Amino acid sequence: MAYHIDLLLDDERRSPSTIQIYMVLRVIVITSVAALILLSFLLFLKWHDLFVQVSSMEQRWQMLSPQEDELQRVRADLSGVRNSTRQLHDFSQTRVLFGQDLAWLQRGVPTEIQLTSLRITQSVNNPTGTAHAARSYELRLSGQVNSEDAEKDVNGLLSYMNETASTGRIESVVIPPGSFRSAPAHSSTRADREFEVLCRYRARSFE
Amino acid sequence: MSCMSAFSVKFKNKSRTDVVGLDLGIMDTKAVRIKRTGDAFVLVAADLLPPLVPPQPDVSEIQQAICVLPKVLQGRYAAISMNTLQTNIRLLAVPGGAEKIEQINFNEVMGISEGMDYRIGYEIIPSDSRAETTFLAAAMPQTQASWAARLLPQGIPAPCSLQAGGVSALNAMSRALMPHHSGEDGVLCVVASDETSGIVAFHKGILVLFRQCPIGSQTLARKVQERFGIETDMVSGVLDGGMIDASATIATTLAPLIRQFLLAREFLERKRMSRVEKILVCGELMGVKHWLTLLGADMGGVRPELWNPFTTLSVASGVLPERIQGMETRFAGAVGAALAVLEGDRGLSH
Repeated sequence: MAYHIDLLLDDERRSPSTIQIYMVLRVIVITSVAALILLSFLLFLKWHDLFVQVSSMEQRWQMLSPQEDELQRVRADLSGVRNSTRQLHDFSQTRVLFGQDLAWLQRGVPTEIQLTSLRITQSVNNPTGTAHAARSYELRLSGQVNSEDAEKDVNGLLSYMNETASTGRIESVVIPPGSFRSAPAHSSTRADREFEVLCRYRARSFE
Repeated sequence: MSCMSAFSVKFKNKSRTDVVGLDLGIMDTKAVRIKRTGDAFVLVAADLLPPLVPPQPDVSEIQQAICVLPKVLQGRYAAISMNTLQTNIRLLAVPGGAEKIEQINFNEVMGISEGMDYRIGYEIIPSDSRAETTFLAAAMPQTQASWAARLLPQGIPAPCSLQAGGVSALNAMSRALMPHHSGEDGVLCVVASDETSGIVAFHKGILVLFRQCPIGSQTLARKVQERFGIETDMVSGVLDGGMIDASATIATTLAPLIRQFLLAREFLERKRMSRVEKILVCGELMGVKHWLTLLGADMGGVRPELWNPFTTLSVASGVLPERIQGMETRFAGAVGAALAVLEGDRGLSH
């Protein structure tokens, strides 16, 4: 066995380490405090910089604010003008030049047929499956015919109009059911007939 | 002791692998640096340094000395060993278990006068008696212990142990004896220091007797100086050189010590029924031939041997300076102090 009666007190013992624990703690505390102070100073500088920037921006804003109001007003005007222009353009896209169509109709009406009325109607609707509204026209003709071959004459007019419909501008040309009939009895002969023709134009989109 | 503190102590002891042992003395300071490599203890350096004289225990103002070690002796830890006239070591026994030790009046059993401030520690010694607990106790004046603890400047080596010189020398000797002398025969040892000497008896490898006598090498030197009226420088010449026949004075001075020594032999023979197989002598031995002659006079042919503490260590060639060769026996205290720390066995303080 080893004989060792140690008479050294605990507070007299030392660590052989050259780096004392209290020195390490001291360095850590001092470094932390210094870092905290430095960080606070940097944050203050950053805050001050931002404060100066905000002040400068506010001054610039006060100078630019009337111009910005004017800009907003001009923008609103421009938007309105653009909207109107677009609507006008859309309307012009949906327009049908009826002068040509009437001249075309004049050329195709046989001498036995007398047109008594011509009515053009339009409607704006929103066809199913499309996002834009469309404009539709209907041309309704009423007339009289006095001949033994009245039906043939009317069908001739119908054929003439259907030939043009095949070009694509006109969707359909029909004689509505019951509209080819005898003229009223008090002022006509047995050969007098009345008829109506309904001509539907293809819908034109406002797109 | 909690698990954590037990681990801490174990870790500290394991971590102490480089210790310098310092044995303070009036003539000089013995210093050894020992490193532990596995289970081996390697002597790295040894030297004699200038003396460091501890203050008297009753002085009011202490002049604190500082011991700056040479680089080669700067181990990480320092184990200090010191023997003064006031240092007291006793082998004691109390009836019952170890818990009875705490109940005894240490001042009384250690012979410490009232009003003196001492540090006292003890270590329980293995004993073949179940009826009593044997323990080795050491007491050192607070003034001297405090002075010794502050000897080393900040940095390395850091003080980690302070022992009475007799105990540290005993530790060194026990390490040498244990493997070879666990038989029936006893071993007697004399550990001399400047002002005191310890007479030690081992039986079956166990410490069975420790007697401290207030006679040391300086006691002998003073007596010779007084008797012949010579200068201090000449004393060693008289004691070791034989320029004057001082054998009568030496015999008279050492007589109380020799008497105690013979009593120790009788103790072994009568109480332990054992004969003395070996006599080992170490420490401060001015006039060593007189010591050996007087100690061996009535020992029935057993010749005292000078014990070299370095024999228990691995010593590389060139480690020992030329000036300390032949004086190896003086390093028992320093070696024992360092080994006590390296072996990691601490006694209890009281």
